[in-house]
Amino acid sequence: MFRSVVMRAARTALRAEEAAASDPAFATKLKFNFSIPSTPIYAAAPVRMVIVPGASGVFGVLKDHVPTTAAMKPGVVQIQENEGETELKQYFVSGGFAFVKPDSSLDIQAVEAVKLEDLDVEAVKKGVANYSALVSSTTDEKEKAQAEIGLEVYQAMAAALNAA
Amino acid sequence: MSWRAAGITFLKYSQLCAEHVREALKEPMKAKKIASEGLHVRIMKYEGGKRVKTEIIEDAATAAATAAANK
Repeated sequence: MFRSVVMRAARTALRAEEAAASDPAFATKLKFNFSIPSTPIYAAAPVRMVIVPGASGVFGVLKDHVPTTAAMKPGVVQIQENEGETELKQYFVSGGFAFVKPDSSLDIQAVEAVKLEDLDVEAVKKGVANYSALVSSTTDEKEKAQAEIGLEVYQAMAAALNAA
Repeated sequence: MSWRAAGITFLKYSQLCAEHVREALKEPMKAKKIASEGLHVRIMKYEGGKRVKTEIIEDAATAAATAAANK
């Protein structure tokens, strides 16, 4: 009796897995969720590859990537929706977490994410200059640390925009 | 990670990073973003079933956005 229940549950789980695997939209793709606290940006979307700015290094995620959790540093999340696309979708994220799950889904939770082209190159250049000056002029430990955070973020944005 | 040694928490660090990114946006995306990320609290005081006082507390970003919208 108990055994047949277990068997049935196992068969049901297997069928659900097969159904997910045979969904043609996800045959060679990741299931991609990308959101910030106020809005979802991608919700269960089929995408081919995502490049994540991990705190300990940038990495790309394709289907069947090994499951992992990574913190993100300020940087660019790049999304290739279809194979062969050379123009990747680019979002600048301020930080957050990326989760690669065993079912080939990728969840990215960012604190803030904006389209890279929505960043103002002039404001970024000015920010880099301001915070570099602040870092070298401040002596207070806490203020210096805050200035360094500003510099880190602005430098990452400058690098993303190729504006030094 | 020197901010950790200076007593800044991860949440504060994340919040600062997000603020810097919002600050570097082009208009009009910036105004829209800052308005949507703001925070306000409305406190209403009731006496004998009637509202006698309404107070709105805003953070600096929301106050600035409200002022800009009313201009």
